Amino acid sequence: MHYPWWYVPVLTSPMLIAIIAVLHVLVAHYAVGGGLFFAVEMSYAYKTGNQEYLAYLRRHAPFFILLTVVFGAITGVGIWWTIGLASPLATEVLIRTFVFGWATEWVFFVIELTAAFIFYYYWGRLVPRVHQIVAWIYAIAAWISLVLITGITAFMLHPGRWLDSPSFWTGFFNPQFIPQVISRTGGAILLSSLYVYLHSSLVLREGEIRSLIIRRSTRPAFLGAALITLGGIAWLMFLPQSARLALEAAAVLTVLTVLIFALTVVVFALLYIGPYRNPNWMTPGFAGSLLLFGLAAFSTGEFIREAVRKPYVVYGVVLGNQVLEKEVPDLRRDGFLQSGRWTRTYVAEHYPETIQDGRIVPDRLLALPESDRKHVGQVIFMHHCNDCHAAESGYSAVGPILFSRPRPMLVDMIRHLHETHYFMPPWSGTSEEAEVLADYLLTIAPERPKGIYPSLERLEAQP
Amino acid sequence: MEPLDVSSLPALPAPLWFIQFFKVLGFILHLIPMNLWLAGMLLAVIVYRWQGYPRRWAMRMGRQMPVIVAFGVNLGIVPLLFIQVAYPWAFYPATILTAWFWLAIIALLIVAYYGVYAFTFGITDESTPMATWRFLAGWISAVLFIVIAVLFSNGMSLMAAPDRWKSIWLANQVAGAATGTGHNFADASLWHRWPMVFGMALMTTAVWSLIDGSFFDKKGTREYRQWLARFCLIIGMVGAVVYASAGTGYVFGTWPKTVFSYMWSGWRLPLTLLTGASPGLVVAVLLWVAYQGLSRSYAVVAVLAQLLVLSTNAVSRQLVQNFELTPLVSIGQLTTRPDWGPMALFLISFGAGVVIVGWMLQQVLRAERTV
Repeated sequence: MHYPWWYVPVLTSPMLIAIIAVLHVLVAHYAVGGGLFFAVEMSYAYKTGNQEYLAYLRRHAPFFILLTVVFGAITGVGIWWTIGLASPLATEVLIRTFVFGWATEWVFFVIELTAAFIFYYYWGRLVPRVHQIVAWIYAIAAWISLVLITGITAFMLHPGRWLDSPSFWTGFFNPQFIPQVISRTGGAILLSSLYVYLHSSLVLREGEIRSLIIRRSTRPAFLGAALITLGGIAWLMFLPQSARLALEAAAVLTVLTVLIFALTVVVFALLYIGPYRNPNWMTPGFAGSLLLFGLAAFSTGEFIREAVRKPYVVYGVVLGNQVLEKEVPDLRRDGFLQSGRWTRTYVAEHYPETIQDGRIVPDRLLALPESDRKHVGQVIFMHHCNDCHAAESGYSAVGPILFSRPRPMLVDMIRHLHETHYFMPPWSGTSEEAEVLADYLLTIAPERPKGIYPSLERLEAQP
Repeated sequence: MEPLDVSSLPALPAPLWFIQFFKVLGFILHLIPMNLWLAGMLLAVIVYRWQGYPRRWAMRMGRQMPVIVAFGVNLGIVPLLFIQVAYPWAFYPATILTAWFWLAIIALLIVAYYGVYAFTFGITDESTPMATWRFLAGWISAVLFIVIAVLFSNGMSLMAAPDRWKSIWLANQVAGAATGTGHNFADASLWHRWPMVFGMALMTTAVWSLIDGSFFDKKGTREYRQWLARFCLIIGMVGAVVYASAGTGYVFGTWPKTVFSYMWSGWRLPLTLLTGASPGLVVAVLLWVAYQGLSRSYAVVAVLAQLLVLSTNAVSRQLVQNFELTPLVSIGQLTTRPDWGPMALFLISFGAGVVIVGWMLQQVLRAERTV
């Protein structure tokens, strides 16, 4: 617990990661699939001598560059920026474990970028064979960067053998690696086709060339959708048990899983009746709807992938509240506030009467005036709970969740946090800290709504 | 903040020298394009409205800018990666305390980069001025690049000043959680470091323009090259003056006595002196070019001189940073558990990457020759 916690009202700071990550993947997958699209289709266009098709590909290139090289690349850096701010401990663990994986990914990113610019700026100036090779270099480098980053992100969900024998290789080739590479590759191919539909329907009039482009992009789209389905099934099979249970137990995740299934069916159906059977139907409206359905399915998938990790950020290693799992017994013994560098400093600065020999004495927290106890409770809330919960209102706000629970029940729930809800992290403080946290939680719980079943105390008091 | 217990920190996955070498190397490589977008974009929008050679120069710089920004961002990943490996305990607190300013860099960079493209796509020929909105977009980008540099210095200067963390944090927190609205703008060293970077950026832009004029600009006339040499001399001299003045203020006005005596003693003294004096070498070369005329060999000498400026600055900066962080953690005491296999994977990929990129650049040169 070396790091300060970043408080973002209403949203909670980790939600910023989710927002930026989703925006990024919607473009980053196109960067990979688009590379394959250009490589395959250029080879086809050159081979058949189809100048019209080549001209279209040339028109598609700036759209691709503007979206992937600017927005895709910078939001990629943005994810890194945000994870360091909102999840520093997990980022530290990941970077220490996979620094050379990331460094290798960077090498492929340089290759990708160089190839992209040469491909675009030297169109018509490179001999066709070289131009095609450059397109393939881009496509392969982009796909390898997808593979490398997937190894790292999949590790967060299921580190597998790494937990027993930590090394780069055991972590990288984790149980989720292949399923996620398959589904992400499929996603890249499918999304690329959907972007191509939209772009071609916007810039080309209905005619032979547009039909050709749409027809040629549809088989890869089906392949992509099939790979997503295959990867998704394997993903489900290789989930850690806790994640699978989370998927079943959390109503929102159940609903989202159904939603992603429904969206996938819709995309399949639209692909079949639209571009596959009737390429001429591909108006900007149809293509835009198809892309929106695809993006919605993708975003939902990313959200589920993130959510099922609870209570971990890195399964078995880093808990959602920026605590190393192995540190929990020490924190329960020594105190959550005492064990955190910033919490300890804060308490020492504001409540020196709780300090003895440089350490926070848990009993003395209970001896603080009520308002101070509540404030100390808020300090614990910020550092133990705010990673996933807003306070009174906002994302997964604790106040409304816990309303009307009597104090003893709250204290008991806090002390047995992971037993009450298995997707919650274990309580990582002393009993006294649980009491002051309960004091704070009572201040943010809303009034019992009128008309709702009365509290047990009142119920039992009724004659 | 109290010092950190070194034993509580995880082991480094590579020897410290390896990490620092790539961090510094990556930083130097990042500095080149970053300098070009920082000063080059501003100069481009300023001189674009002038007729003749200045506009020609601005058009060339503008056309190159999208690639420059892309590689600048990309090359920034390396130092950022290795800084998080070696100094997470300093990097994360500093950036979290200033989180909104730090995160704003990403949003502003996206806007600035699209502005660059808007400007670039508006460049047609010397006699046709671009649409006003495109020109304004270029200005917005130039200003945003400057703002981004300040915000970046804000985070990085705070990282090396752990003694400031507590006061900034306590002034910007809710129940001990940082609101991310802290800043280090009151730190005088920031306002010296930033102009130093800007001075370097002007010099890098001057030297790059010589390279462009002598190697890449096939249509440049003799008169244009003469003008270019004088133009580069002016930019370079202004840059050197800014660098020297800000650097003097930084060293003599903001360094604590401990840092001062550290950098002015032993083997570090010649490095410190060279860091301060190297811009003089660049100016000397630029003067020589202005009087003798632009040639490829002179341009290469200018590049070497400017690389000396960038390298000495980066190495000195690293030494100062290590020293400033000593009260928090003694860097040399960090334990190391090298991960040789993945390190080899990286080095092999790096070598292969150099070959592949080299091959592609060779194809570009071949295409250029054909044209």
